Formats: sequence, C-alpha cells, structure tokens
Amino acid sequence: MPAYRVFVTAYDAVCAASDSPEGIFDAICEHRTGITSYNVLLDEKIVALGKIEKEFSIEEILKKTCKKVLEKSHLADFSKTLLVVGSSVGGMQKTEEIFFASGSYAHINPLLHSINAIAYMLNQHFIFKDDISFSTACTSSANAIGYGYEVISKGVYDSVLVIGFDTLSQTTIQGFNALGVLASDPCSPFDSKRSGMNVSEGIAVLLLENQCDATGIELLGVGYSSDAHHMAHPSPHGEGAFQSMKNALLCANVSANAIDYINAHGTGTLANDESEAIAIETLFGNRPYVSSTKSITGHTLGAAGALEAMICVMALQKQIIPPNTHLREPENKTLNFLYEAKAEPLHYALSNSLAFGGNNTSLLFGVPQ
Amino acid sequence: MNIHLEILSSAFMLGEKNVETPNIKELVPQMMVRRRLTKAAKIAVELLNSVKHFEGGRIICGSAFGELGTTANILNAMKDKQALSPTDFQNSVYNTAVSYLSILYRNHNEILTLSSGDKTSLNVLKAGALKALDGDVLLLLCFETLDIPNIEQVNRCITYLESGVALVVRVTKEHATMKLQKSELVGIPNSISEMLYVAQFAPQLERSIVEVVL
Repeated sequence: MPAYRVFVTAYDAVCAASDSPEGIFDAICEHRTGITSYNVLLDEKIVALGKIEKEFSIEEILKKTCKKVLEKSHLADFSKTLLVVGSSVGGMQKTEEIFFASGSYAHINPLLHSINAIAYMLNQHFIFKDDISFSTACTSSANAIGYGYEVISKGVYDSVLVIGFDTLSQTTIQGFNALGVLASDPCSPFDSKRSGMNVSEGIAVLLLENQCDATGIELLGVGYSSDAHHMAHPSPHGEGAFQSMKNALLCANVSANAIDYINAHGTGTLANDESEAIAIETLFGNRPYVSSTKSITGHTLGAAGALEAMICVMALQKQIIPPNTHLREPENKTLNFLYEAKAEPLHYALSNSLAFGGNNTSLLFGVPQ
Repeated sequence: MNIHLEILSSAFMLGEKNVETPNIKELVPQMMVRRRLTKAAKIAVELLNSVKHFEGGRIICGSAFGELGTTANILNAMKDKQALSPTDFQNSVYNTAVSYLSILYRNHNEILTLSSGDKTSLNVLKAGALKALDGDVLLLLCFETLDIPNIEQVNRCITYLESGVALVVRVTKEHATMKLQKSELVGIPNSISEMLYVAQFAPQLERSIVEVVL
C-alpha cells in the first residue's frame, strides 16, 4: 500500500480540438475533430495534422496554461512543487527554424533545443522546488505522471505539476511520413479500414497532490512494461500493452473486471491498433467500454499521455464515457467500442500510452472511495 | 527525503573524439541488428557487459541531448530536401539506446529515459533512488554522443564528445561512504558529471554507498 494517496486536483489543456479542457471533452463527445488536411507540409502529399490555432507563441500558451492550473488550485505558488515534464521533441521546432534559416548549428541555443527546454522555459516564469523531464517518445508524459505518482505516494512531495508538451515539427511530420503511417484524413482508430495517424501538437498540465476536495479524482496506480520486440513495431500479440495494464491493476489492487472504461492509445496505425486491441481483449474481454480520442485531438506524441489522462479524469468527474469517432467497422469484433457519448456510473478508467522502443505505460484512475 | 544507494558495480567510457566499442561484434553478433544500433546503443551494450550484479531489471537512463547523430542526419536531410531514413527517425527518440538494450536482452521491465540538461545524471540518481525504494536492483545509465560533423559550431567546452556511465544500485540503510559531487575531470559534459564521479570513486572503496537527496 502506498504511504500517501495521489489525486488529480487541477488541470488544463490546449490542443487542435480546443483551447480548454471543457472544449476538448465536448469536441470528443460531439465528434468535432480538430484535425485538418494540409498539402503544404510534404511535397505532393496531403496529410492530416492537428495544429493549435495560435494567438500567441506556443511557449506563451504553455505559460498561460500553467497559470490557469495554479489559479484553479489551492496553492499560492509552485515553490514546494516538483515540476515533471514529458516531451518527445522538446525544443526541436525552434532548432529547425534556426538550422533551416542558417544551415548552421552556430545559433542554436542548446538550452532551448533539448527536452529540458520546456522546464528551462517554465523556470523563467515560475519557481519550482525542483524539476525533472522524461523523454520516452509517445509515453513521455504518461511516464511523467507515473513519476509524479511515485514521488507523492512515497512521501517525497505533497504536490507535483505534470506537463505534457509537444509541438508540430518537420522532424516528426516527415519522420512519421517516412515510416508510412500518416493518414490524409482524420484518423479512424480500430476501424478495419484505418489508414494511419494524425501527428498533432498539444499541451496538457495536471496538478497531482496527496489530498483533494470533492471533485478530485484519484490516480490509483501505474503500470510499466517493455515489449523487448522491435524499435518501431509493437509486439504483435500485444504482450507489452497487456503487461503494462496488468501492472497498473496490480499497483492499484483493482481487478480487471472492475474497469469501466479504457482510453486506448489507439493511434489509427495498422500495427498499434491490432496489437493493443488483442491486449485489451486478452485482459478484459468485452466488459469495459473502449475508445480512442485521437480522431478528435490527433496524436499529440509526448503530450498524449497527459492529455488522455485528463480526458479519463473528466470522464470520471462528469460520469460520461467518451466515444470513438470515425469508427465504422471495428477490426476487433470483441471489444466494447462506444460510438456515442454515454452517461453511465463510472468508477475506474484506464489510460494506455505506447511508444517507440516498445515502451508501455498504463495509468489507472478512480473516483475516490 | 534522503536515500542511500549502494553501488554494486560501475563502469564508464570516455572518448575525446569517439568512444571505442571493442566488443560490440561479439556482444551483438547479428550484423543486421548491429548496423541499426546508434552509437549510444552500442555504448549502452558495452557498459552493460562491463558491469556485474545486474541480471535484467529496471533501467533508468539519462541524456541531455539524446541521439544527436540521428537528429543531425534528419535535420540535414530535410535541409537538403532529401528523403528521411525511417531508421534514422525511429532511432532519434531519446529512449532509443535503452530500448535496444531491452530488445537485445529480452528485458520486459520498466525502462525510462530522462533529460534534464546539466542536471541529467543527478536526476538519474534521484529517479533511480526513488524507484529503488521498492527493493530491487536497478541499472542507471547516462550517455552523450556529440561526435557529429560541425559540432564545433555549437560546442565550445566539451572535450569528451562521447561518454557513458553505468551504475548498478540498490537501496541500503547503512551509512554513506562517499559524498555525491561533480566529477573533477575537465571537459566532460555536465550532464554525466555526478554519475561519472560515483563511477570513478566507487571502485576505490570496499563498499560504496552514496546519499541521494530527493
């Protein structure tokens, strides 16, 4: 049993679907996608991406998002709070701008290039007790939440601010294009005719604390695993995702048949969705509702774990299960996919994040009891 | 919270230009697999081969700049309007090196990579200490692979362009026998400094126990 319980007490987020948590949740429930098709980013190829409509720079949006979370919290400041960042590309967008303009590394500021650029930037505006940044590709911010869970549950910190952050960069757009996994339309996770993923940008900020008010949702457990299979392909029978979900259940001491909803990683790629569906089916059968919300938000890469954790928290607070969008004919015939938002009593929600290198993380949330 | 970590085994590699990986052919005999490994992955394999008392378990890795070689390949290909190599892209993420370790050694455990600028190796020790409270033996790694063409355009103070450190650790309640500090070796990346100090100093002690303050 952990020494301390861990709660999500405040959050905020911005992604292609909306600039607020309520807007994002409504967009998911009303099937309003934030994904748009572009033909300017890759020669002769249309790709569907999730871009944030920006009145300000992405750094300014991040700062404002953190400020909103502070305002929603009971904290006066973050001076006793640990900052934990999860990002896949860090300051790559800035590096690209400088390098493509000058053809040289000379003007690249290493402090603003690396993954640590986000913590460096936030430390200019807020005072944190300490900071740490994780970069494990698409599980980055799920692992950041996992670390936050551990420092609170083991009694090291009372509060942790988790940031999931990734911007659209040419590296990720052209990189995923090189792997042949980009869709030209908003993605259709788990559909038999799915054609790939939508690279997107996003920011999600969650405050974790060891106590909560009436609206707080408990982070009950975290499960990690490694596929040990291939750098870019998941284990075909979903062994890695199965193990991370099982480990989350063990960590929380919750049985598989108690899970009401799974927010799947569900990228819309052939390999991920088939493998993850097998993993869910093997562990849970057809009991929990399953959806991927990436057809609305896009795949926000290193930010996805935090964004989808927030969606699970909101689902538990509102007692509304978020649906799939663009899912017409599921490839997996067993899973209990949801097609429309549904109000139903919810106790436990599981969020999956799966990444390059076979890195898997599952987060289990529940209504406090 | 103060956590005492016993250093069960340690190893490090430093190269002013690049680090030699003399055993890599023997350690990764399949040529096609070996060719896909990044330099950081090869360093990680060599380091794992050099340490004792780690039979597969959780790994916490750190790097300030990650897979700089593949990142530079990608940037240069895009600047020159060339097609990107899918292998370069999949190998460009920060957790590439330890992911290859998990694949090569069938390690299904939790494997994380963090990146905290100059504080990277200190944070690897902190994260390792936090995780080690669960009672298991962990492998802590850190690396930098900065030996890329034109690195001098941006590097002005790091002499050792390639480096890696490995520590095998577990929690102990016994008194610390060494103080955690930065390595005094000039020209190393700050991001490996604390772990390098531990790896340099630990073999001189009968039992090496370091206090990590979270």
